[in-house]
Amino acid sequence: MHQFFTPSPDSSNRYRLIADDSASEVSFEFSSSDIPINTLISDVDLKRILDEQLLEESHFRKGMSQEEELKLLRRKMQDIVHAPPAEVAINKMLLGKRYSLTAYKSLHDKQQLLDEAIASGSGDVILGVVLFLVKTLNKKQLNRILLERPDACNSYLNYLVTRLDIAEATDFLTMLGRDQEAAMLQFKTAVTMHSDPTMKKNRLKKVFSDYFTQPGTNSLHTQLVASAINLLEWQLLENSTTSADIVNSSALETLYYAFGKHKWKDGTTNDQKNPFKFATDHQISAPQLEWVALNERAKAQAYLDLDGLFEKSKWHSIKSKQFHINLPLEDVIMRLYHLNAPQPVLNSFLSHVTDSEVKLSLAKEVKAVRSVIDVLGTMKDKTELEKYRDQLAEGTEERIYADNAIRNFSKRWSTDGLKLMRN
Amino acid sequence: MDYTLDKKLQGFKQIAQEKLQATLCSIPSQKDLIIEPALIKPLERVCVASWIKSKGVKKIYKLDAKQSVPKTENSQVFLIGANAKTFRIVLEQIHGHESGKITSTTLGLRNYHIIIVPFVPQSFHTMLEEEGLYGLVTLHRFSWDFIYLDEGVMSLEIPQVFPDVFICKDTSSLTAIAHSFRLFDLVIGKPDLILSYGENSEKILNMVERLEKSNAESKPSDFSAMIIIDRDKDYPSCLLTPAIYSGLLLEVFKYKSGELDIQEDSNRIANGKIQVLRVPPATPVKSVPPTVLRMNSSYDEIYAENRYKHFAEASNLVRSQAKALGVEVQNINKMKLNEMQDYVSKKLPKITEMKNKITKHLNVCEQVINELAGNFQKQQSLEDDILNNTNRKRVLTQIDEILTIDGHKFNVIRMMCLVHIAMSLSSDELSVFMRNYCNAFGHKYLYIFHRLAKANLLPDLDAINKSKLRANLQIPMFQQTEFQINANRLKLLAATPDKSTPNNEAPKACASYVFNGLYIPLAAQIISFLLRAQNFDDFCLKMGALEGVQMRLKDLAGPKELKQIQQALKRKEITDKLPLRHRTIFVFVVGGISYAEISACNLVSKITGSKIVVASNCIWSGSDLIASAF
Repeated sequence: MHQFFTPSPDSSNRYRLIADDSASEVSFEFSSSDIPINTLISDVDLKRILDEQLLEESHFRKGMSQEEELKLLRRKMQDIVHAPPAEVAINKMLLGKRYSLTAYKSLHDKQQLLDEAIASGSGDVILGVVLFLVKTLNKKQLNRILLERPDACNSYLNYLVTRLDIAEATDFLTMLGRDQEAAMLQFKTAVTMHSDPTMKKNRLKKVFSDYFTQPGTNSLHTQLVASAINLLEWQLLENSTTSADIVNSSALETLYYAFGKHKWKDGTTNDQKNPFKFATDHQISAPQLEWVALNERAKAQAYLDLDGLFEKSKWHSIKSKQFHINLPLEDVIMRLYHLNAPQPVLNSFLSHVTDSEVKLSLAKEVKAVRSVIDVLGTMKDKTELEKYRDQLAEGTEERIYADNAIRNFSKRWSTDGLKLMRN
Repeated sequence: MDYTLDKKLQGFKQIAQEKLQATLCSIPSQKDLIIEPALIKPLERVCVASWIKSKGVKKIYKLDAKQSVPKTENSQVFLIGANAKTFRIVLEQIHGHESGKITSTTLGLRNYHIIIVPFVPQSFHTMLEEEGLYGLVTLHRFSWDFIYLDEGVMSLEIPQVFPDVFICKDTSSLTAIAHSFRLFDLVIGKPDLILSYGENSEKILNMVERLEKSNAESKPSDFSAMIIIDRDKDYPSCLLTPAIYSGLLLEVFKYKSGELDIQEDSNRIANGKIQVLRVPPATPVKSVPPTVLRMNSSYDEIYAENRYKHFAEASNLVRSQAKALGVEVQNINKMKLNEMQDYVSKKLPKITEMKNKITKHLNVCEQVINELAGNFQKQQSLEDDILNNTNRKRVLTQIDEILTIDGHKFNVIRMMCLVHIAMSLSSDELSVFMRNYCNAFGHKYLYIFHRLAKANLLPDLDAINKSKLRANLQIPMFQQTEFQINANRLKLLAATPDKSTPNNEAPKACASYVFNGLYIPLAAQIISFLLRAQNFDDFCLKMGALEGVQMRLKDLAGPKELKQIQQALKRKEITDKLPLRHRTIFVFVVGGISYAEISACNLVSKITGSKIVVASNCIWSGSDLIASAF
């Protein structure tokens, strides 16, 4: 494989990238396919393209007569005093040439220049003109001109953001009445700029009170930013007392951590560290909560805790429990299987699948033998059941279970038959 | 001598070499070249290191933000992208070398050069001056223009176009595209018929016209028509899950300038999910050195054969080829001595090479199947429902389940964007999703939703809030979104595949096969209309009064709407360009093209017996598009 920029094995010079490419590959890709360049592009055009690549314009050709030179210089002088039509300047800028705009002094000229730039459609040319206006107009005039031209505003805004001039960009957005965008920009800066979590938290708090508490702010944004601050505070607190490295992880990752720390036997804890309280505080959805808990407990092989998670006491009696889950059972069972959950656990979850067909295929997929036998029993499919039993090794517990099922089966059939006969 | 179109298209590389050479040779002394890592791959498509070294470059380094390359007596030449952050890093490194050393004598030497790809933004001049480095540093620009990545596929390799232009509404990078188009016209000739769809496409064509004002007559073009489309006119082609080989490779592996990065132990699907909620691998993965797969049909005959095939078909073919090769290797035992000698010297190297390639393809197939096969059917029916705007409640529940159980950082948002485009999300629906998403992946991504809204990929929460009254009105269930109206006009929504047929396989002759029969990419459909139209009226009829389509004809000044051209035809002011005399079309998508679109165009070219060349500022997948907003 042709690849020439491979890091040098020489560690003493580790910046160095070795270069020399093997000859065969070079010739394969880089000369055999070449055709004479003048058949591609005429010499004149190629020269033009190469000249255009230069940022500075070369005014004087070799072998120019003095007269010509004088003419050129005169025109240059003219251009400095009297601004040439805006189109001339803009087309030069569009070619990528450096072009001095100092001759455009009157407000009218400046506006025309900007309008021509916008008409060109090039954001870069627009920015070039805007930067010139920033230098040569006071803020009031500048803003007045920009306000009427959204394309110019966008170019200027992007410039401010890439220059990391966030304060100026925010002011500008506020002036344009784009408050939400200003708030978002401040939020983004706060979360991406600070690597130190404490500083990030303080910055976020400031941003929250400055930009997310005004009337008219989107309530979801306000909630989520508040939640982001809470989360960071929770993580910092945890970090200070334990050696946990959870700062900057997401709410679900933090919840996963909290489930690992949670004293499952003790159901009444109501301190900040309780994962259930954490989930409520961060408005984590019920399916998300259950999925995180399921994964965490299964990986910890604490399958008994799962009962407590999904079996809720009925309101009328504490003793009888009801199974309730917000996740698709199919995904739950498959995940438990992939996490190597033991058969009884799989069987217990399978027992809650109502559709027999689905249950059967699932049970077969996760190799939950008892469930397969049970389903076949309820489906009254004796031949399938016998077939299935024959696949099981003799003398195993499962085989015996299957044999029992078949025996019950015949019994039930015979009693039914008796009933019929009596009638 | 007349060279084939493909040779000419490959010739952009030679022009790029001339351009780079002109810049490098304009710097007189010995120099060290320091390249931004992201530019290395595309540059490899333009020239090799020995070529660079022959232009007076002593050593080549990778730009490292943390560590600057020591300064020697050689000039330092930096090659970086037009990105303010990278530019700032370079300026800082130069400051590090020069602090306190700038005197009037050293100033004249101009020891530093920065070559910026593909253009020098206006702001860089200002930054250079403000940093006090003006005079010490010289700026240059270089654009490699069209890079010929594969047969019929070209890319400008400017991935930032989508985030800059469609999200930030900053059209700076369009200027660079316009420059490349201008060169295209010089080399290939300006096509007689140019169709544009989208404001950014229109801006590019306008700029090209300005740039060409000084040009003499253009030469006759090798293409009879050019179509240029904005990405936002056809988001679904990028957001839907492709069903073809090349498209699925990009879903799972990282793609850069015609090459796939293949790693045994990690891929893009696995990396985008929450690690603590994943099933840990049963056995520790064997560490296999990462390799690359070159997605270029002239390098890899297996790729050439399979690139546009349906994945199921492609993976079967790869398997059977692997078996066939096994047979050939077994034959060695039966060979006579002289046969053996011949075999070892001639055939064996080829077979070994072939074997390596097959192993690579087998490996990628396996990884694609591992990561995507489980949910493929489900995903298909979900996308079917979304496109047809049916079963809204079930669609949203399913996406919530996917987010909860197996959420991928980019792909789950991608699905939500597709829902918004085809079904129009309400603020409540988006809010629920946003909360769950932020809880799963981090609150820091709150701003992403705002950015995607700017590209019309998601609803703007603020705008919805302001017009809450309207949103509260009950929308009748049968109402079509704008997407459906346009898609029905252009017949993009292929008839729902018959569920009873095995594998749901779509008939081969429809370009919708790239999405398993769900949808025909817009670009492919327009090309097919253009190629099949008997006359201009016929074409207009098929385009069904689609708004925003502009056309430029050689003998008609400026862009015109289709209706205006119809009128001009009636008045006999122009002649009808349709049917096209030469069946060659050039397609360009502004804002990144997907392999599904490329494959669909390829099928159209096969059916109609035409030559279609597809190009964009970059080739990417839907998850790349979403990732570019991050």
